[in-house]
Amino acid sequence: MSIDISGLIFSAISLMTPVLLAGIAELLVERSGVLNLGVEGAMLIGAFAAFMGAYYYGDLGLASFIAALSGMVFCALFAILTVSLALNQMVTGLAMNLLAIGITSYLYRASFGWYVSPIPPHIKETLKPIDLGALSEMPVVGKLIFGHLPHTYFAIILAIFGWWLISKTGIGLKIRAMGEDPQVADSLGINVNLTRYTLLLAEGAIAGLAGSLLSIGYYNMFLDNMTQGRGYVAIALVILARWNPMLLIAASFFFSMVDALQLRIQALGLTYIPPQLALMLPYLFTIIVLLALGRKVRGPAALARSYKRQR
Amino acid sequence: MPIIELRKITKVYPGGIVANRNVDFDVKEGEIHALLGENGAGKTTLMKIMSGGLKPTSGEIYVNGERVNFGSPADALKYGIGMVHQHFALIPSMTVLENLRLGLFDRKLSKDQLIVEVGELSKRLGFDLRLDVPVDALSAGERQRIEIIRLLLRKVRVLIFDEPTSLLCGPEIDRFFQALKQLKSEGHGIVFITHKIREALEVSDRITVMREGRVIAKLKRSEVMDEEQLVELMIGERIVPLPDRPRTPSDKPILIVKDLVVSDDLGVEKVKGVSFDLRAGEVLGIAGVEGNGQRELAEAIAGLRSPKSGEVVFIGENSGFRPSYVPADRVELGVAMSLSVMVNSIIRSIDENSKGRIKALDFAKIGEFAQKVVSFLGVKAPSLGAPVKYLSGGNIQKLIVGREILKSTKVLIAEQPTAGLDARSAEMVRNALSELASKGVGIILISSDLDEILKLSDRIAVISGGRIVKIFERAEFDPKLIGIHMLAAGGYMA
Ligand SMILES: Nc1ncnc2c1ncn2[C@@H]1O[C@H](COP(=O)(O)OP(=O)(O)OP(=O)(O)O)[C@@H](O)[C@H]1O
Ligand SMILES: [Mg+2]
Repeated sequence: MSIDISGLIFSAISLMTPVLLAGIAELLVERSGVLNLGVEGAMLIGAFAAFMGAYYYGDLGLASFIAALSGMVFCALFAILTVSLALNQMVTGLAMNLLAIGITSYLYRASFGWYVSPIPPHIKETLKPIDLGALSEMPVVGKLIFGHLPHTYFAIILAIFGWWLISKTGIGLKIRAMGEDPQVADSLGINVNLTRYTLLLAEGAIAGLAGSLLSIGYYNMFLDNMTQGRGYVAIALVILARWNPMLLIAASFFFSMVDALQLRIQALGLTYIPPQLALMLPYLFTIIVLLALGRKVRGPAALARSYKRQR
Repeated sequence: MPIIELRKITKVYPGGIVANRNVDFDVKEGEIHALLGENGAGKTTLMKIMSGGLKPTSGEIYVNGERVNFGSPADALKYGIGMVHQHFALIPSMTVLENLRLGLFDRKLSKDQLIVEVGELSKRLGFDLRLDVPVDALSAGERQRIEIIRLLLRKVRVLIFDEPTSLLCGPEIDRFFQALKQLKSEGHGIVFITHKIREALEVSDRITVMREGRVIAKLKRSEVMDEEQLVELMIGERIVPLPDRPRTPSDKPILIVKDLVVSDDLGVEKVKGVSFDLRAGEVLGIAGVEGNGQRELAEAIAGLRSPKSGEVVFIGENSGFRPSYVPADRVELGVAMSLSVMVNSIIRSIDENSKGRIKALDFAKIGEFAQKVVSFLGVKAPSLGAPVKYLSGGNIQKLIVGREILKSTKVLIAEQPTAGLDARSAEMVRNALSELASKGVGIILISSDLDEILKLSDRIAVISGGRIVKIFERAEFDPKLIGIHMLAAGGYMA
């Protein structure tokens, strides 16, 4: 048995896109002191909305837009509950993820009927890679780094932008300050709630877009709970990356390498490796690396603590 | 015309506690205005209202004669009113420069311009700030200077200080007063809350005294005759210090500390090989400039911080023994702010207050103990069930000190036990410590108040740069000599 290394790297880069997108958005939100477990739900909503858009309008650009918009609405609800009303972020996030599973499964059946037909409804076309012509003819690397979906390049640029924003700008300083101590930030005249709202809305849009990749990029259909915990993985990767956007790129890549490897092992159809075991690998990998590297990391001091002004 | 004027301010906290009743207060240009009053009198509340941190229930605020409403501290800053709280508003994990930049708000300054301006301000006030170190590594005095500079960068005209000297030691207090006088000469108005009457007399131009939410006296400095007069105004009686206790410490050590090395949270060695013993019935004072390893030493002995090397042995106790401990940082280590007074009074002795095999909480016992703690030093609390965050700073301190003294263990570590207490409560605490020592308890007293250490201790160990540079016997006590040792041998002067 042999595994084609460059093919492996290529699929790792493409698989990493949704977790990196969701991860960088979540990373920025967490630096401001908010833990949004709802990123999982926002991805699922995005996946569903994108599929519906593509199915009924037949336009993938419009579908992507709808996905981003609905992810944003979803996170806006989270923001109202946790930022304005200062509800517990963890509980709210979990509840909203259950809501997302319920709502997508329900609307899916409401649109396509209650009985799952042998051939589920699907779309004819999926997202296309950018064609860079001659560039992809470059020896060795050409095939690896060109020919991905535009989302992949967007994700990497976004991560680099996030790094610059957090560590080099005044806005980044303010975001970090409110993640350490929102009360102090507030007393200095930094608008904590507005900043957190902005970051959460952006996260919603980006996570929605990340989710759309699943239903109109890699597959051509929607399946119940099709994100399968990728949002949670993104959160784990943020911890693994110690809230550093550059490390997040690396962490997402390695996670996706294991994922790609796992897919190949499955494809080999070896009877002595049950597919469930292979499926487990990337998650097992995350847990092991977290155990090894993640124990001493210190996140934003005010992470997941709700903040309300004293009256 | 005063820069800022409060008229008929009343503050009722949610829950019905009236903290201010019809208070008038003002600050003029170029004056230092001292605000005095016993614990729970309403001083902090009034100043938070003046600096936008709280909204008054009724009453009016005027800046330069113009009626204003402050929605937040940032609003007040726009009108040039800024406050330095007891609990510093700094982000410990960020550097000094980053903390300064955060406070700039809508002032656009490049990093270089900022450094230049900070340099100019520091020069005027006689500060020397290290800009690239994280605030974590700084002493209370240095942190206070950052806050002052930050307010000045925002061009404030009124600076309010809530008990600014309570954690500073002698030389740092002098530097602070120097800066206050400089600010005053530049035309700033300054309010300064304190419990140390001598300080108020030393620097202030006007003195306002509060009691039970009301202003009961407004005096010019020249109208005040002596300290006693002010104390009497504040608490309605004179304080007669008790005679000194008989000094009969035994020779029997109950605690031996050997070659102790302790690091702080960032891994920096703060205690660099400390050895001493503590005898039963003895008060061992530890004198030193804040930030020279006192806190880490106390935490290591209290069992809250594992030492890098060395030993802490309690003679005649089993290995799980924990001494009573009054931490300097009452908010972080002393209490759980949102739990009740009752729970907080037993929070460090839960096992002793449980019964039966399953260790069910014994509420009858807890209630009784809590009642004892509250009446011991007269903690002013709405009820035993009220969360501790509803208490004034001094009353939280009384709760912690009372709890630790009444727990009756053989060893007590008291860090700044009287910080933030009014004159009467501080005297009560000193008497209680004396009495405890004469009952055979060994006490380690860490305080920035040298007078307090001199009065209570049987021996004084001077700590400097993480080492004990000298131990004085009572017969050799000499404030000057102790002061010199505090700054000696690599001890850094913040
Ligand atoms: N957040 C709060 N909620 C309810 N009551 C409060 C709150 N903060 C303070 N109080 C009450 O208001 C009164 C005045 O408190 P304040 O903190 O202003 O006193 P203080 O004069 O600063 O005392 P200290 O010298 O002890 O610091 C106290 O009785 C206190 O219990
Ligand atoms: Mg106070």
